[in-house]
Amino acid sequence: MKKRLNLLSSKKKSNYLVIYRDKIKLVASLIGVLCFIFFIFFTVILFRVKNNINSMNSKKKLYLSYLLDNKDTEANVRYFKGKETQLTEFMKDDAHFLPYYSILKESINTSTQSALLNTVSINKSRETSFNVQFSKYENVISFIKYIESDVFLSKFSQLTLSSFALNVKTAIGNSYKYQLQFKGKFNQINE
Amino acid sequence: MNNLKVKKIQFFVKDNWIVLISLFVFFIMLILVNYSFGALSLARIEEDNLLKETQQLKSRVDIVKANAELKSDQIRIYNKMLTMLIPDSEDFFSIIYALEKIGVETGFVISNYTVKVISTTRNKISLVVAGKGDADRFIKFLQNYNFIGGRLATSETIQFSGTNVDTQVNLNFYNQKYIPNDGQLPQLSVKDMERLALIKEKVNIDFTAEKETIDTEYEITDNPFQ
Repeated sequence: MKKRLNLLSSKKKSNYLVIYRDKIKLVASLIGVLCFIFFIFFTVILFRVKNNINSMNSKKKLYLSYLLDNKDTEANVRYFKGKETQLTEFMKDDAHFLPYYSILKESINTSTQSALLNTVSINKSRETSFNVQFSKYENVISFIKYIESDVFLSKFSQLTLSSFALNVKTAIGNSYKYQLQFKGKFNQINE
Repeated sequence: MNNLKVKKIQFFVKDNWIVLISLFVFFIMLILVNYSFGALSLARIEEDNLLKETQQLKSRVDIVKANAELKSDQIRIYNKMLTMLIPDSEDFFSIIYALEKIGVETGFVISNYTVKVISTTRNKISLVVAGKGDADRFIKFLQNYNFIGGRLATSETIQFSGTNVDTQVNLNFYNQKYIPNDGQLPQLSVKDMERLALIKEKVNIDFTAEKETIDTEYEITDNPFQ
């Protein structure tokens, strides 16, 4: 096939840069300006943050030097608290007998003067058993009335009369006609 | 041929220099923004970490200052007392001494004691203590047995008869090593100090006397014949 040259027709060269020159200029300038604003914004914030970091670093240095100067105090406080916690934990094993015994003794003395609080047992869970002895029937009745009152019952989370006996003798030879045996649990008291 | 290409490029640059500069500036700006944003993010992370660290240090300093107000000398004395009450390791002789002292101070004579092996653990020695005394002495014993011997003593169950003469009490004595921790520094309260002051009154031992130290700062010589 023979090659021919047509001088009239010319191939249109498409140069996108030339065609979109104005648009590219506009978009690049806009984004460039926007980026510049962002850059300034970030730089200002960065400057502030760096300032803040510097001030915090100097504070940290100050605190560390204070703690270094007072490391003995800190170690003593930690030791104190550690041992005190151990003490508190171990004291939970204790029955704390006396405060509960005093409550019981006071309550019984309030109800009647002639009652004898004979044997009292209290354990670390505040569970208790105790027996009270009387020589007169009237005292028994007044005591039973008292133990049914809210004043007395407020000291216990539970309380039951487990036994009742007649004609008992104490270890020291005193004769009591009536004996009431109780079992229950004390409410926690704040020592 | 090459000349032609160079010429072409020259013409292209001459025609589009504004666009090219705009694009160049645009890329430079993108790089700067990217860099500053990265630097800011890193600085923010550093700031956050530092803020947490300084807050922790500040609270430690505040607590040390507050604790210092509660007489650091006093704390040192209480520490000695607590170490005596709950030693780091078991010292059976101090238990014997404690039982002796409880008996002397309360008048409740301890006549015999046996180790209760079932209830004894690594940190607790459990004893069954037999004692003699009237009701008043036993009450005094009950008031004081926890601390008066110089060792912490507890009793899990106590039975008391108003006419007690001979009785048996279970007493526990404790030991536990203090393990330091780097957690939050605890804040001492006036209540803590009052509680320890009360215990100190009961222990009734003078902890203020310091041990004499031997002065080793004397002159020495290398030649013994000089």
